This record gives sequence, C-alpha cells and structure tokens, in this order.
Amino acid sequence: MGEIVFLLLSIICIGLIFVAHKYFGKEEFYFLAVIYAVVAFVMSFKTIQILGVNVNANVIFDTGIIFILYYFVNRYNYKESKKLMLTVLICVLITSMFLITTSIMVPSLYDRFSISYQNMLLDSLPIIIIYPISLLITMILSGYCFRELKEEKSSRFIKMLFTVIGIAFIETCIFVYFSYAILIDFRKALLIALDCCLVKIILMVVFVMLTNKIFKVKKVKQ
Amino acid sequence: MNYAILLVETILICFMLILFYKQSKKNGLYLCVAVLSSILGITSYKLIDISGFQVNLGLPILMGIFICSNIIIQRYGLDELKKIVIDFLVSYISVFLFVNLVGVISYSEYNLVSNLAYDELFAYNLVNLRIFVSHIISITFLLCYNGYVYYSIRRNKNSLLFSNIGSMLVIQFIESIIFVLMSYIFVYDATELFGMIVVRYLIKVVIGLIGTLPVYVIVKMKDK
Repeated sequence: MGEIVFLLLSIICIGLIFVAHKYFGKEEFYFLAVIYAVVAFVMSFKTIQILGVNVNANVIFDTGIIFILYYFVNRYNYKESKKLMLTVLICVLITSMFLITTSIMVPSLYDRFSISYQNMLLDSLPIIIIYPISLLITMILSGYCFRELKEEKSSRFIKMLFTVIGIAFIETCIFVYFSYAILIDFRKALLIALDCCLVKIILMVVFVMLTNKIFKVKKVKQ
Repeated sequence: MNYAILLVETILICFMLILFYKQSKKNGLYLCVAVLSSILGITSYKLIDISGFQVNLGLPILMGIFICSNIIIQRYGLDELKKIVIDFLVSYISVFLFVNLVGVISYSEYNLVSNLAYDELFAYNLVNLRIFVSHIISITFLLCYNGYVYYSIRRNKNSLLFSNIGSMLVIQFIESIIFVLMSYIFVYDATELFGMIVVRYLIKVVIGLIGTLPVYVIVKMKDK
C-alpha cells in the first residue's frame, strides 16, 4: 500500500510539472512551487518505510522543487530563478512560523489535536530549523550547477546525472543526517541518511530524464 | 497568551501581503492566497478557548485570504473573482490531499512520536474531514459573495475603508454561521454553537479592521 502511494505521489509530482509546462505559464509554476514548498515542509515531520527503507516523507516534493528550479534555469533567466528561490524560502519560513504559533497556543479543554501538533513540531524542532537552511543551500547550489550545465555542449546528460547525485547527497547530508542526529543519535541518523540518499538519487535521476522529455513537448500557452 | 499570538499572526499576515505585493504585484497577491490557503489546510483543526467559547485556529489566515481578495478586486476588478476562487480551491484541496496521502503510508520505527502525531493529525481523520469540507463550502461561497458585495459598495460609495469594512461585517457573519454549523452541529449544544459563532465573528472583525491597513498601504503603493 505504502509503495503504491509513494509511486502515486511521485507521478503526481512530475505530472503536475508536465501539466504546468504544457498548458500554463510562469505564474502557474510559481503557484506549483509554493504548494510543493508547503507540502514538503509539512511532510518532513514524518519518516516513512518504503520497501524496508526508512526515508523522510518530504523526499518527493523536495525533489519537485529542485526540478521546478531546473525548469526555470533552462526556460527563463537567472533573475527569475532567484525570485523563485526567494518565494519558496519565504513560504517555508511562513509555514514554519504558523505551525509554531499553532502548537504553542493554549488549547481548549475539548481539543483533541493540540498534543499532536506539539508532538509533531516541538519534538522535531531540529527539522524546523535545519530544513529551511538545507533547502536554501540546495537551491543555491542547484541553481548554480544548472546554470553552468546549460552552457555545456559535450556529454551534458552524464554531467547532469552526476550533478543531481551530488545535490541529493549534499541535501541528505545537511538535512536528514543532522536533523536525525540531533533527534535520535549519530549512528542511526547515518543509516536513515544513506537510505534517504539512495531513494532521492533514484527519484532525481528519473525526474531528470522526465524533465528533459517535458522540454521537448510543445507548449499550448507561450 | 492566545490573544498575543493571534495579534502576532495578524501582523505577520499584514507584512506578508505587503511583501508579496512588492515582489510580484498582482501575481504576488495570487501567490499569497495560495500560501495562505495551503497553511489553512494544515493549521485549522486545533481549538482554543476565547471568552469561554471554543474557536478554531487559522482565523488570521482566513481573513488574509479575504483581504487579499478585496485588494485584487479593488485594483483589478470583479473579473478576477473566478481566478481567486480557483486559486484557493486548488491550493487548499491539493495540500490537504497530499499531506493526508502520506498519512496512510506506514511509518518508520525512528522518530516515532512525531510519526504518530502526524498520522493522528492528517491520516484522514473524520473530524478533520468535516472541518475541511466546511471550509471549502463556506470560503468558496463567501469569496464569490464577498466580491459582489465589495464591488457594489464600492460602486455606490467610492471609499476604500467603507467597502472593506462593510463587506467584512456582512460576509464574515455569514461565514461564521455556515462554518460553525457545518463543523460542529450535533457535537455541541445550541448555546455553545451560538457562542462559537459570536466569538469567531468578533475575532474576525478585529482582524479585519487591522487588515484594512495593508489594503490601504498596497492601494496607495500602486497609486505612486
């Protein structure tokens, strides 16, 4: 069941990028990025098990954000990509602020969810702090790498593959390893980070191939 | 404590509106509606006590959506209404669906407290579902109605303050009735429901009054 849902979410994630490319314009991509940012941030509080591998649930939509950035670097200018990065970062920060205020408000006597909000957020405080930092670093790094790759002529696809593997590795190192190291312990965090890195690399490689195919599809709205 | 946090949230929303408008003008306001709708889908399930009655959280966020809608209608006309409603519906429903879909995936044995809390909050909880449906119906219906009320007041009396406060007083009262009845009828008795409607309405009116400040600032910003 879990594997099917994971696959379904991955298809939806790349499918929406395809739909936005074919039928819509730049504004809708911003809209998509904002939704992915909020979803990825909320999902980062859950660790799921897929085929016996422990991964952070935000891995799909986090990859989605990176590929929207990849699309922007290739389709529009660098200024637009920087604006996208800023928008995504602001969204994550605003969401985290609202989630924190929600969890610290004094609940009513009949409230059932207060304890869940507190357990989810205050127990995972390192995630709230480290996720925006890792996302910012990953986006800046990805933006730079994608921009350099755009100019490359020879064996671009191979270089692109190595780049996304590197990005996946760095992102998991910063976010997953340090968050779980503080939350659980360093040894277990290393295991989760390795699992997460593996899944992220597979997702990123698939997304690279699909995004390159998406670029070849003719747009309806210019 | 709760009053102070509500005030902080309201101020945050005001700054957010100005920031998004400064960054991308009209598209920034649409993005703002999308962000607020997405956050509303994950924070509005908790109940707090205000004056002895229970109120759902997310009121500053909800008011932010209406304020954004008013600014867009004020600047760009009533034709934008359909786009605002679609913007709200798509972001609110998609975030709720995605977040809840992950809730049905089996959790890992690591970080168990957080995993269980996530599932308790988002794994298609029936109480959440009722609040979710109530929000969809009340906000969609009243965003449309708000547009027409705002526009007609603006046509009769061309005053920014009057059209904002006038539409807010009417619309938020109806929204409070629809939302509270749909979410909590058969859960609480009539007195409690009446109190919930009144308190919810009063808080929204106060937030709406503070929210006229960014409306004024943004409209003036455009005029410059």
